Amino acid sequence: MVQEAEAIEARALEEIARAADPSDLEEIRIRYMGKNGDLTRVLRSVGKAAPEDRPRIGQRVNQAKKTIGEALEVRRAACEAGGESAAGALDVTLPGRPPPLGSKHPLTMIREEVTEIFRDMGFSVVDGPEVEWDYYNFEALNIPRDHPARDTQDTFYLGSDIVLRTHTSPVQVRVMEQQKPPVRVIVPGRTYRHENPDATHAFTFHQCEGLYVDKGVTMAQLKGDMTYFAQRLFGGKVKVRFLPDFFPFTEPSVQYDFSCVACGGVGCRICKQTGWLEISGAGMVDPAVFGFVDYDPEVYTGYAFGMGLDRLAMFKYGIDSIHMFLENDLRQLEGP
Amino acid sequence: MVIKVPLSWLQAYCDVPWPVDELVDRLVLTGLEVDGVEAVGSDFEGFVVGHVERVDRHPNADRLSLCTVDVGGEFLQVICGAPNVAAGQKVPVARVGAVLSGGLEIRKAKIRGVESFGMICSEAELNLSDDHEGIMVLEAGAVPGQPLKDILGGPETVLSIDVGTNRPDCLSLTGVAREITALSGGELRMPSGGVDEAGPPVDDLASVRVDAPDDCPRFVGRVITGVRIGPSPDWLKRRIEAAGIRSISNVVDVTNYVMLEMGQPLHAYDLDRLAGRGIVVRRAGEEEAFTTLDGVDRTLDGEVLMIADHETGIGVGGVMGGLNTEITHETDRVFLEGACFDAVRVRRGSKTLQLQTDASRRFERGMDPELQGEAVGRAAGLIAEVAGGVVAEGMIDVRTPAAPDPVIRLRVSRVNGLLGTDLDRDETAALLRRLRFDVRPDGVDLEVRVPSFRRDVLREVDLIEEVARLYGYDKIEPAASTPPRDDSAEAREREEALRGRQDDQRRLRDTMAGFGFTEVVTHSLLHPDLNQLIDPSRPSVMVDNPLSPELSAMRSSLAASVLSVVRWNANRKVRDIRIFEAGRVFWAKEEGLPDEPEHLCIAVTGQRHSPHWDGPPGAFDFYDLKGLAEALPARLGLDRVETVPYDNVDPLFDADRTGELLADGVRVGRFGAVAHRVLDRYEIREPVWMGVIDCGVLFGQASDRKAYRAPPKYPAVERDLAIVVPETVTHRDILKEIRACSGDLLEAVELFDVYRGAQIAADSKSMAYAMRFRSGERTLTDTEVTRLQDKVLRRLVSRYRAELRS
Repeated sequence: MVQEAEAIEARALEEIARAADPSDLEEIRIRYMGKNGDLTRVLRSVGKAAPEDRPRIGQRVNQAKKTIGEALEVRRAACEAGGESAAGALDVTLPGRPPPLGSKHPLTMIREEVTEIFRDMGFSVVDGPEVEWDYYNFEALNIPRDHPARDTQDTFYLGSDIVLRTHTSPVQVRVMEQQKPPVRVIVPGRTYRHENPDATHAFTFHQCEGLYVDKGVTMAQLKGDMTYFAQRLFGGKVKVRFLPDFFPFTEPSVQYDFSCVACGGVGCRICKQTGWLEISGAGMVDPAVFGFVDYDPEVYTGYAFGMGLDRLAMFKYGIDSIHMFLENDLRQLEGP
Repeated sequence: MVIKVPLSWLQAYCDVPWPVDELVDRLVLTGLEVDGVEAVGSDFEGFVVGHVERVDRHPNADRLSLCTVDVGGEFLQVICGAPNVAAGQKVPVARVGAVLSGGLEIRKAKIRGVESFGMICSEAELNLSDDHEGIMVLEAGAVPGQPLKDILGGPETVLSIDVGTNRPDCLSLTGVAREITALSGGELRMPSGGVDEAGPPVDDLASVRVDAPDDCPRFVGRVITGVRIGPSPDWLKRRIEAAGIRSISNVVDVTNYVMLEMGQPLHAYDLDRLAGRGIVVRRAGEEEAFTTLDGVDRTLDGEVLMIADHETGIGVGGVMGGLNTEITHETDRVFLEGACFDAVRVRRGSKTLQLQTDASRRFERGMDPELQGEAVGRAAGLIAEVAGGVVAEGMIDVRTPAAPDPVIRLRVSRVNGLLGTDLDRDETAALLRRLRFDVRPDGVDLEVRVPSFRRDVLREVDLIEEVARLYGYDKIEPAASTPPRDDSAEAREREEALRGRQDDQRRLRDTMAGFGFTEVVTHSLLHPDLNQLIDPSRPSVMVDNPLSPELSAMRSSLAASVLSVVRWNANRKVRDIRIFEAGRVFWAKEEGLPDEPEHLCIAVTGQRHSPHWDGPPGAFDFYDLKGLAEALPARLGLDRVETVPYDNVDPLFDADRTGELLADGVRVGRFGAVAHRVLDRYEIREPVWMGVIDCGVLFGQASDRKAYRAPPKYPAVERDLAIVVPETVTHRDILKEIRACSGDLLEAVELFDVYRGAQIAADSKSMAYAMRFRSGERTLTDTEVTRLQDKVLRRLVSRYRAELRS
């Protein structure tokens, strides 16, 4: 019986290999494995064999059945793929089997885009702790304990001298403590403000800090470099403007705006009809900050800037709510 | 701090030669941030002055009054809901047809069965302020029937200017006017502090002693006698209300008016309520009790500066006066205070009391020490004008000797060096003169004397900022910087390490996205119970002042918030989820800042892929996750990746379904089925598979990059080996033996079948391996390979009672 099964298997496989289309295959299936098929007949007769032989024979017959079944499937798929069906070509309009589409988060995408541009401009990318000493977050940035500027940065405290960093600027100080000029770094990272969330406010932000210290660094370079960055990110027509502003750790300080990337500067809903998008603050490193890290302000000058990655992502990808970023609605994040 | 600047009032001090839009642009470009421009008031078409003849109760409504109002010979019946309406008042009346600021048109109406022919208006309804608590009461001299515009003026434009903490000199109308004249070159018309002093010498009436001169470098006082406290005239009321301050009484309104005008906070005391008619400036005692003007009982401490009379406290210096000496209708003699308090002292007082006022905000930004005499004189004169009374002769002026104005040397080369401009000495001097700095040339440089109102300017660099903003940042030509090149080995190594880490982070995310996972980003703050649930042995890093208990701890694992994402989406019928997050977790340390290791958390639930017409995809299981978890380190360049049973307890996972991931023998993470206990807490019904990997360890292991490997030169020999072993023997046990016996010649080994059931003894399983042997030096012979295979089998037989399966 074992030999019989093996012979049937060999014969069937040969016929399957020669079959031209699914209807041939169906005929073969019925001939061997149908109700009165050859193999089915053998299988039925296993019961007549000696009891000690039965498992061995049964196993072999079953294996033949499995082998033939698989061969039929493989051949059928091959016929269809090759369009060899007698009934005509396969239906190419049936849905395919898509691989799952993964995606990176918009905050990751913008961070990678931004860091790539700055890497091209010769900036190193560094980071620092999110739970930070008051000293780095405030004191060494020329914001002493009793300075009213602390009110503008509502702060989460973890004890009297530890905070959740309110900006990425403390890393400026950490880097300058570690390294002599020239320093040319950016710091992308997460920051926190003690603000109740509403339509336009969140308590978690993502910023990117920049710092360039060397001999002869000027505000004109700050403007030139920010313009290059803006144009790399948003296209060659974007303009940059500086407005006077105040930060204790830069002097002079500016707010910098990009011409509206949605309307090109003529005024629209996104830029509230002003033609400009407020990006963030920048300026020349205040000599007081150099004092904390032992740089000689008579020898070195530097510029520093910040930017909100959340805002840049909103402008870049047309996202209209700051809360989208941490909501993680997969229907929104998934897919192309 | 935002101040409101009514344009018509501003024009009292300077000409504004531009339309509003242009004014705003110019202010913004030189450093005053204009937050908004709003129109206050209107033409008041259809609004007239009314005289309330009589007030009766509405027959059908307790809270409504039935008023008879004379609007110039014509008597209107008007229903009014305001509690402050009274016969004899002059009030603004909207006649039928008038339109309120909200857009509502007044019509003849029947209210609870009684007809009403107009409306008596609140300030809010007139678009004058937000005050809608009661109706507005006009001055008694107003004439019934007179158009309201005659009394209130036409529409007013009010700028909201957000003044930075560095520019206290702009916290007043004259300060803003000074900026405008710097732009326009026009004249600045400062109000005069000169006053007609017809009363007795002030020293006979009151005295001042300053016991804390560091906290109060200057204290100026004047006395006005014989005042009549009452409502302010409409012009005064209108100006301060347009600037956002409520009218209280003529004397108090004048102190606010002068604060708005000149930036000097002033306080008026009832002189006759001052014990000893004298003022003492001192620190508060510990636990000194005091009731501020707002009626709140407060407990002070030694950090707070107290203004006192000879018995008790009467005001918190620079913050708020006391209830005990406030101006009342009985007040006859007013003591007017104008002081220069130390910024830090006022800030401490304000923080201690948790009370910020218009005064405290101005003081804590720094006060011009030369302003007090002018401001107090100006206010005394105005009080005499609007409240009657006589100003006493002279003023009390207690001060520490004024420091001379600072003189700063400004190097023109430094200006250009910092800004990248090409200004010459005289251009630079001209810019500073427009800002009222006293500038003298000194060789190629400048010597600049800083006026008292610009005490924010202390250093050369501060002057450079003044030059820059007036010159105009738009005129600074952009220039590109050249990246510096640091050829030191140290710099190169540092850069290489930084780049390597960044590239790893990027590759990690790219790989996960490539595997079909969606990246999520969650908050770092959560409820500490969730940390406890997942990592009970680790104390949470807690925030002292959280927004809510749900946001009071820093996450100690990513799992908690990633599970929240699973639940949030499952609730929205997203059931097949493949997500990951890479981010920091926060682990408390004994001392100092917490550790912030970077983790990767992977979560999957539901089906392997979306449904397809060809058949069901099957549910995600342990081995899907395992395949992924092992593929990731491999993708990052690690060769030897394996999973071993995790024999400790990780409360995140179901104990029986947890694997520990090893890369080159080092533990990099764990994965498995999320424990039911955890899922129940999140009310997640479907099984969730999760992996948690420590990125730092992973990247550290991956730091040796994959090297190029030449393709094999000699053919491989493949052999299959099917054995039956007891259930207790693991795949890993068998692999170990196969590897140990085969040595270097084993190129690969793969498990291709596991079978249990018929023909296999209970408590046993059949495992089938495909082995591939190859030598890098020669072609292996059949005998050689058979020998190896036999050796493997013998070893398995002896060690694990394996049987060869035929």
